[in-house]
Formats: sequence, structure tokens, C-alpha cells
Amino acid sequence: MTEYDTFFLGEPSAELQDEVTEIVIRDLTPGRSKYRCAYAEVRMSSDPDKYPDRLWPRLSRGQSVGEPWSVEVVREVNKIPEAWR
Amino acid sequence: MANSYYKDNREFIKGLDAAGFLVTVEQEVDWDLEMGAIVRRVCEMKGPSPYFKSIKDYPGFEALGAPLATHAKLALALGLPADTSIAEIGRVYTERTAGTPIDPVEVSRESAPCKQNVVLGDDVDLFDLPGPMVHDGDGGRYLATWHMVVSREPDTGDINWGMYRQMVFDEKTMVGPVLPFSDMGKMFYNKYVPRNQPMPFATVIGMDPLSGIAACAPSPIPEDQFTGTMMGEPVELVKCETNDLMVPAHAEIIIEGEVLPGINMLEAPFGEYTGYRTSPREPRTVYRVKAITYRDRPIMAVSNMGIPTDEGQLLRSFSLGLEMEKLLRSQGIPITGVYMLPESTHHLVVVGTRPAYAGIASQIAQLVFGSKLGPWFHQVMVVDNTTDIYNVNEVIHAFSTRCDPGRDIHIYRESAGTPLNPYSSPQDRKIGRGSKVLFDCLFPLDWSRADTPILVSFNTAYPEEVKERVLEQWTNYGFGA
Repeated sequence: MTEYDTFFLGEPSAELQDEVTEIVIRDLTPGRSKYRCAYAEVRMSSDPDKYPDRLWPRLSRGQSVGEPWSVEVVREVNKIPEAWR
Repeated sequence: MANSYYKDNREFIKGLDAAGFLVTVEQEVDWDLEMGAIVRRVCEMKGPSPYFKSIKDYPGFEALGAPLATHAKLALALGLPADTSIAEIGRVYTERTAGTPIDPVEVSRESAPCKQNVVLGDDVDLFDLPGPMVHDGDGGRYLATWHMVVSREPDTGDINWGMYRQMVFDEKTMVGPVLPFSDMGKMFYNKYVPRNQPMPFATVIGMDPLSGIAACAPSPIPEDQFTGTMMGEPVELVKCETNDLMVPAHAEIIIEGEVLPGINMLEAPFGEYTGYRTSPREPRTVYRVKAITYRDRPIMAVSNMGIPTDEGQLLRSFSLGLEMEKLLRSQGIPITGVYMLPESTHHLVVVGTRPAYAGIASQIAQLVFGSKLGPWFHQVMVVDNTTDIYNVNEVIHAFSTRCDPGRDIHIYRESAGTPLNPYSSPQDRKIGRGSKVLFDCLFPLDWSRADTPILVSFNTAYPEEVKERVLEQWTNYGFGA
């Protein structure tokens, strides 16, 4: 199981659950690449057991907000235009 | 003639050590919060700089924390004794920087230590550098906390060195805020973005201390020349690998790339210079990295923004205050000095003046708020020449006893502010708007001499001969020197 966190820009209760949605996830795997960010299409749920990976929610100023969610990463999305990669 | 200065970060580390302002940390520290926590505590204690010799996951890298977070270290960087007064540091800085700008000199790659290791293209990985997680709750790892970003105006060729924080997003991408009224922001948003043209940049980490001071200074002189005037001789630069920008040859680490127009990515939050995480996670400017070069056994530089005092607070306060002093003197205002309190996170500027005419405090406030530096601060306090502007006790006393809340507090609403102001409403932060205030601590000139209160202090309440005798006999009375 991979652990991620994300910064919800609004209240967690307003987040779309169980449908494919785009967020920025941050990989919490220990080591040199810890905190790598990625835009990703995900399915997520406040039910911690619904999806294979763990997602720790934070608010937009970094406050940790308690219990973990679960997440399934569908795919990473590269936001950099092709010409400038 | 060259002034006394440190040519690079490594000479400065030796200087800090010799002066007793360095603690060498031999045991391994974790880049993930531990290093940041140590530097934060040092800033709050105004302590010696930690020199980290061993960083978890990053053998071969070292780091210097809080390199310039006290006036004593600033004095050392300028080649002055550590106990030099703030006023004297300011006088020397002003004198040196008033000279003719000195152009930088280009040196060859072979004589530039920052080229000892070169990583290009697909091999570039920002996670190969020990960017610290500075505070718990930050949006990412910040490689750039004590650094400078080099950019060039595309039409005039003017060079800018400035401190713009940069968060590592992924292996080749950094993100960070570039405010539109900043020097680099004006270049990027007014020139590169309308042309849909990427802006070359170079982030310099671990530069010599005077280059860092120059990057913090709001001087109209290009910072590479400004550094030369402080050094008294040209700063040595070398050309980048992937663009034509020039960077200090003796710096520890250089990150080269392009700032991309027309795209923003999420950055922050970050523990900021105001002592809060104020600006939220938001879409910010994107830096795409193409090359990294570094010295053998490179030494990262780590500052830690939070409650006072960190490098940004101290150096911005110092240089902003002196620039405003130049501005006010250029307008013939009879000021005695300008001091921006670092403890105010460069929000409060104290101006000492001879109260020569009615309305002088308002004139001072309007001049400094109307300058290009105005968005960075929102409080001006004007005191008379009986108050030592560098003495916080005297400043608070003047404010508390001379400023009538109904008569002497003047508010300027809907002025330019920054998104980082903790006191601004969420809406005002979003659009960079804020109120400003003048605290006029001058007794009104239309009060008669008989009605004006008399300051009672050792300096003002005794004849000169009594003061001289007391000072002369002080130790004889039994007091310490």
C-alpha cells in the first residue's frame, strides 16, 4: 500500500468521492523522493478501506485533518506542455 | 580598493567559526523536518549557525543553516567586527553602495568551482539535492530558502537577482510565487508572458554572503554590479550551461532552466516570513529545470522563515529601511534615520525626524507608501530626534505616549499589499490589497512650549556635567562597566 497526502483547496466534505477526479497527490514513501508531487486522476473515498492506497487529507494551509481516506490512482497527468518538457 | 569580504560560502563558514558563530553538527540529521527544526530554533534564539556535516539519504552533501540571521553575522559578512552597532553597519553599507557600480567579471568554466559537477537533460533529478522539508505542513520540499534567482529583462538586458521561494514539485519541476510587482514579476508578466516565451532562470544556492545581501536589497542598481560595489572589486561570474545567464562562479549549487508562461501549478502552503502559513495552496509560477551544476561536496544553504528572526526578515528590514532613508533624504526631508524593525517582519518602519513643519509625518508616510517598496510594509511610525530609532524600548515608549489615537493615527485604505499579509481578509489577500497606517508620534507644533511635555530620561533630564560625572564614576559606584 502506498501512502499519499493531498491538500484539499476547500472543505473535505465538498470533495468529489468515488468518481474520477483530478488532484495533486504527494508520495509519502520514505527516501530521497519523499514528497514528490503529481497531478493525478484518482478515485478517492473518506472510507479508509475502499481503495488500495492511503490518502491523508490536509487543508489548504497544511493543517492535517485526522482520519485517512483511501485512493486509487488512475493515472498521472503531465501538466507541462509537450514543447517545454 | 577591495573591501574586506568573503569570496565564497566556505570562507564565510570559516569566518563564522573563528568569530564563535558556528556550531558544527557532526551527527547525521534528517532533511525531513529535523534540519528545519534545528534552524528554526536557532533563528528564534538568535544563535550560532549550524553547519551540518552529514545529511540522511545524501552522503557527500553538507548544509549551512541560518547563515545571516543576526546583525552580528551581517557585520561579519561586511568585514566589520561582530559587535558593530546597527547604525554603523547601515552607515558602512550606505557608504559602500553609494560608489560607482562595478561591473562583474566573467571567469572561465575551469576556474569556476560551481562547474565541478554538471548534470544535464534527462539526468537532472531535483531529488538528488537534499532539499529540506522545512516545516511540518509545508506543501513540499523547498530547495530555495537562502538563494537567489537570476533572470534577465529580454529587451534591456538588465539583470535581476532576487529571492523567490521555490518548492520541488517533481524531478524536473519547481513552483513558487512570483508577485507581479516584484522585479522578476515585472519582467516575466510584462515581457515574457505576452510573447508566450519561456524566461531563462538560474537559481543560485550557497552564494557568497554579499551576493545574498544584494539579492535581498531593493536597490535600483543591478545586483551583480551592486555586489561589486560592496566588494570594492568585480564579482566573479561564469556562464550557465543551458542559457546565457551568468552566476557567481564560487557558489555551491546552480539550478538552470526556464520559467514557463501560460501555465501554473499548485504550490504552498509554506511557513512564511510573516511567521504564519498565510498564503494557501494555489496555482503558482512553474520553473522547468534543465541542468544542475555543483561544487564537490556541495554545501546547501538553509534559512527557515517563521517568527523572528530569519535572514529574510533581518536583511529585507535592513536594506528596505536604508533605501527609504535614501529616498527621504533625496526629497530634502529632515530625517535623522530610518529603521525597519526585523521583529515586525519588515512591516513597521520607524522614521526619526526633526519636526520642522506641520504635516511632516504625513509627508513621510505618503512618500514611503508611494514608493516601489510600499507593498511590502503597512505601518509607518514617525518619531522625533529625541527617540533612538534602533532602541525598541524607546520606540514603544514614544508610540505609547505621543500618538493620540484620535488625532495621530492615519489610515490609508485599499492600498497595494501582498497575498502574504496575515491580517488581511481572505479576499484582500487574494487580490493583493491592504490598508496602511501612519502612527504620528510627534507632538503637534501648535502646542506652546509651556504646554509640551518634557521627556524625562538620563540623556535629557540632567546637565552635561552631571551626566559626565556619573558615567565617569559608574564603576566606582560599584556597577559593572
